[in-house]
Amino acid sequence: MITDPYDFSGRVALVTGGGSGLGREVAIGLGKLGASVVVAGRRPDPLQETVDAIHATGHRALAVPTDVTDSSQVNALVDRTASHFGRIDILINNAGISGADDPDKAVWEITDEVWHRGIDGELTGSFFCARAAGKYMVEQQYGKIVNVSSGFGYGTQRGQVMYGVAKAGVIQLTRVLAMQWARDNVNVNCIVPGLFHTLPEDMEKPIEERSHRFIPVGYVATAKDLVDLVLLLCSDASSYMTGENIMVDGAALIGAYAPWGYQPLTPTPEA
Amino acid sequence: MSPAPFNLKDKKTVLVTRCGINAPVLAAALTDAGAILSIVHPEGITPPPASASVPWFRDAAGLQPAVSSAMAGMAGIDILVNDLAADFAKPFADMSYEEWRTAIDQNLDAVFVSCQTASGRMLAKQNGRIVNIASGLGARTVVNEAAFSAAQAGVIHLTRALGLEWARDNIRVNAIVGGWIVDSDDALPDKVRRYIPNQRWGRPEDLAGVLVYLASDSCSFTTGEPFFVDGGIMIRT
Repeated sequence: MITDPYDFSGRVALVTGGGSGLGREVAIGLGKLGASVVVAGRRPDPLQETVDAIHATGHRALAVPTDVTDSSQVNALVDRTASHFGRIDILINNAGISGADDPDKAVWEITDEVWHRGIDGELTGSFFCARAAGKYMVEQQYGKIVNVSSGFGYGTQRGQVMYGVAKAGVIQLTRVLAMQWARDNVNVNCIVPGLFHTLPEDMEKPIEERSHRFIPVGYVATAKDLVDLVLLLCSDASSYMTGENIMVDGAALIGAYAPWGYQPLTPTPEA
Repeated sequence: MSPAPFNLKDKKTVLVTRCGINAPVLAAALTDAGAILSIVHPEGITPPPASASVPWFRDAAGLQPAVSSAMAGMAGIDILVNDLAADFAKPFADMSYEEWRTAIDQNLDAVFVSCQTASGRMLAKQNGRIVNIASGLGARTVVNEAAFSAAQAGVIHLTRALGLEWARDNIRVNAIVGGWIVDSDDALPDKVRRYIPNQRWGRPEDLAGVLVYLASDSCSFTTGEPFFVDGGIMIRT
C-alpha cells in the first residue's frame, strides 16, 4: 500500500484569501486532513472565523491579516508561517481583488493607477507569495503551489481589461514557476474556474436563473465543486503534474462556439 | 490515517484496457478506492485482478458486445475508463491505408464504441463518469507517429465534445493525458532529460490519483478537460 496521499499530517499550508469563499473551504479541507494552516487576507474577522472552524476540527491554524499586494507584508507573512509551524509545504494563491475594471470606461480612460491596481490585485500578489514561499520550498525540496486563475484568463468579454490580462498572467506564471522549480520537487498548478458562487448569499442572485444559457452543465458552481480538485493538486497523488491549468467551468469555454441548445442535425452521410 | 476526501465506494466500474503497463495500476487504484470492477480485456491476455472480466475479440467493433456484457454482469455502470492506446510508428510516406485505418480503429474508433455502448445506460440514469487515458502525442508529436498522434488528438477532442454533449445529463467526460509513462526505474537518458522538466520518467502510479478524482462524484463542474500528467512536457517551448 502506498502512503496515503491525502494524509497532510506534518504539512504546513498557507491559504491567501482564506477568510471566505473558496479560500475558506480549502483551508478547512486541508485542516481536516491534518495540515497546519495559515490563513491570510485583508479583513481580520473572517480570517479568525476560518481559524476557529479549523480549531473546531482539532487542528492547528493561525490568522495573519495581510495585503498580498504589499511585498513587505507578504514576506513577513511567509516568514511568520515558517517560524510558527516550522516549514511551508503548500501555498494556495487564492486572494484576488477584483473591481478595478469599469465597463463604462473607454480603454484610454483607464488611468495608470487603475491599471496597476487591477494587475497587482490579481497577479502581482500571487507572484509575491510564490516568490517568498518558493524560497522555502526549494530549500526543503518539497512544495505544492496552487494558483487560482479564471476563464477570463482565456476568453474575454467587452468592458473587461485588467482582470483578464492579470488572470492570463496567472496562467503563464503557473507554467513559468513550474519550469523554474521542476527539478526541486515543487509542483505549480492552477485551477481555472468558470462562474461560481463565492458566498452563500450569491446563490440568490439572478445569475442562477440565466446560467443555463451559457453554462452547459446548467448550474453555477459552488466552492465544493472546486475544493477536492485543489486537494488533489496539494497532494502527492498529482506529483507528476506540473504547470497545468485545469478548467473548472462546467464546459463553458468548450461550449462557447454557439449558444446552449444549438443542436444541428444533418442526414446520414452516403456510404 | 486521514480518509481521502473522495472515493469510489460501490461504484460499478468498467475498465476497458489493452492490458499494457497501466492496467494493473489503474485496476488497483479503482479497487482500492472502493469500486466494483469489471475489466474488458483482449482475448488471450490475462487481466489484472477484478470482480469480473470479459474478453473482447479483435477490433473496435468487438468492444460493443464485451462492454455490454460487462455492464450486464454488474446490472449497470457508474464509471467507464478507457485505456486503449496502441502505439504504431512508421514513416507516413510508407504507411499503407490499411495500416492507417488499423491505427485509427485501435486508438480512436475503440473509444467511440466503448463510450457509445456505455452511454445508453448512463443517459437513462442521468449519471456517469468517463475517463479516457490518452497520450501526450495527441497534443504534441514526434516523427513517424502521424497516425497514432492524429488518433490520440481525436481521443482528446472527443473527450471535449462528449463533455459538452452530455453536460446536462450529469455525465462527466475527462481525459488523463500521459507523458512518457514507462514501467522502469531507469535513469533518464541525457537525450530525453531536457524534454521532461520533472527530470524523471512517469510511472503508471502517477496516473492513479488523478484517475480516482476524475471517476469520483467530486469531479462535478469539470468536464471535457484533458488532465496532462506529463512531468511538465506541455509547458516547454
